[in-house]
Amino acid sequence: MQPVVSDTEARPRWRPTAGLVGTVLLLLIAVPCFVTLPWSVANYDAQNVNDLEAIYASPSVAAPFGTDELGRSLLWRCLMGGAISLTIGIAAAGLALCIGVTWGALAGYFGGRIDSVMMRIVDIVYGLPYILMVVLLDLALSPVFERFFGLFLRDATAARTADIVTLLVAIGGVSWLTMARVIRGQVLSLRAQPFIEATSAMGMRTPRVLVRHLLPNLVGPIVVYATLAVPQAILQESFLSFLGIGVRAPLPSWGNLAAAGVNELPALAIRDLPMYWWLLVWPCALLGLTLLGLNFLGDALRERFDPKGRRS
Amino acid sequence: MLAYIVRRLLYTPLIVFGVLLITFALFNLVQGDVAASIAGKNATPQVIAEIQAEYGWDKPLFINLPDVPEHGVLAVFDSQFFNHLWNSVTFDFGRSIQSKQAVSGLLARGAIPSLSLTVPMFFASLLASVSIGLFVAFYRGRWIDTTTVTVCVLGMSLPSLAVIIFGQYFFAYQLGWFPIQGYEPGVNAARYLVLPVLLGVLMGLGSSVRFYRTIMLDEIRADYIRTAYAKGLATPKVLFKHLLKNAMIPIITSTVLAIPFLFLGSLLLERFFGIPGLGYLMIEAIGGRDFPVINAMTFIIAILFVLGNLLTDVCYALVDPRVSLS
Repeated sequence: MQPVVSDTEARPRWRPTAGLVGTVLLLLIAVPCFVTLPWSVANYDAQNVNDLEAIYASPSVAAPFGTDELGRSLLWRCLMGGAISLTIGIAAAGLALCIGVTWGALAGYFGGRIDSVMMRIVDIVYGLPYILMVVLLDLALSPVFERFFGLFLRDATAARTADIVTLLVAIGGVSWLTMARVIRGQVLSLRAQPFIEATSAMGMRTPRVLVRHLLPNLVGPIVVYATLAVPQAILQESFLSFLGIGVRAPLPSWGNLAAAGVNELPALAIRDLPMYWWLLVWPCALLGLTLLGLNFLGDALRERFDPKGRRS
Repeated sequence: MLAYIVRRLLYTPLIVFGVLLITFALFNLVQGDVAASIAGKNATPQVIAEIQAEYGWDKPLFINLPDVPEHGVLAVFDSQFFNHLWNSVTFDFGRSIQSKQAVSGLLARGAIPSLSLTVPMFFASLLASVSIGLFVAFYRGRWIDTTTVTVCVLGMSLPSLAVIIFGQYFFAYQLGWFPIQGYEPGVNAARYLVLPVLLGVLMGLGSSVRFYRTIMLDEIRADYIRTAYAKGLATPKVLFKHLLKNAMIPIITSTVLAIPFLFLGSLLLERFFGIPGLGYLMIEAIGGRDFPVINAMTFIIAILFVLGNLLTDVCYALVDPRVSLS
């Protein structure tokens, strides 16, 4: 007689998967950044006083990450910078998804002349250098948002908020192109299927068809693309902030903290100058670990949602 | 095929026109009063007006209706945008606002260092990632494959800033194998470019190896590979003759369109290694609102991009007999 295998035994032994590792890593970084936000914002104004004793202190118990050129604790700066960087990354990717999905779905659904005009526009924007577009959009939008937030916030807060919102709109407003192309392709193939034909036979209205019948079928590519878009947007933010175009000091972000760290490095040709390595190492490490978490999580989601298992 | 190429070339003006229109419109939004800033603090309105006249900024933006009664219908086009369009199309980019030098000269001087950095980087990285991708796809599922994939994810997550600074510190400063930074024109440039090229290849390797591995995996599971083995072909022949040839289409798609942007140089590498290339020029131009320089670069990239698109399609037809271009 066959031995009875109980249900629990038959199940494969539990192993930590890449997706789980990624999620834990992300939570370990993101939760402290956002939870401490009220304190880091409070600290932000208090810490701007110069304290000569505390300038460039290497990591210690009092300041676990060390301090910077104004004696501010780098731990607090990194926490607040993390909240800013993550917000920009996620919001910019979300914006890019919204624009891309809408654009691609409309182009694919209506087809014909509308489709070709919309896709030509995508072609044109594709031909522009990405970084240039982001910078120009950023410059063009910043007065608009500054005035908008000036309506209901204090001056300094308005300027800071406008800075961040402009950057995320600029990044999101440029990176939707790939999404639009992918979604359009998907919608074109869905449109040829009988269930879409049935909706028009039933006399269903276009918005309802788009939202109720097309959108649910697009979840796969949307998730796949989102896992690529978030790390991309975070990297863009850090890159722009590094160039001095993105989040502007004294507001921290991982990008401009790293940039500040680079500027404090002594010229390599001159030996024996003090090295304030912690100014560069912490923001870079946090950025790297976040990207690692996102990449792991992205892989897992892609395996789950991508029917072809196509990973890139 | 020829008819197709001609038809596609007819699209070129459309896209180039769109690119010029978008950059022009955005820049006019951003620009502010450039004439006043050129003239300096104590300029009289007259001086500012002279500068505006010199650059043609006193004309209407798009359509010049006021001049029509005097100069005829064609004067409609005597506006900032159409003059700008005409100048771009005739490759007359004018002078830089910041340095007062001819833009064409600036571009020519920056293009050589930039391209001698990005072109070797591009080919080295393509060669490395395609061969590693093929290699690990062949050993799929074994430890060498899983290790490589994990290392790739780790590599993708390293901020490029950290890679550059660590590489520069370790290989140039500690070990002294390469000059720390700098650039010399001529053959000597190679000495300065080795390290940036290596680091540049390293930074992109993670994502591109994974990309090519996926492509190779799609192919290696295909029926024709099993057939090739079944009829007794040796592994090298299957891999290089059959698989690689079929993998060419996705490879071409992803590579040809990257070529125009090689012209932009590599911003971070140029900055850290003191290479006087175009990436640097562009960032300075953006910071200084130097429209002539930005416009020239965007225009050239747009043209290269359209040509790259065309080249991709033609390559498809050359590689894949199923694709016809009519």
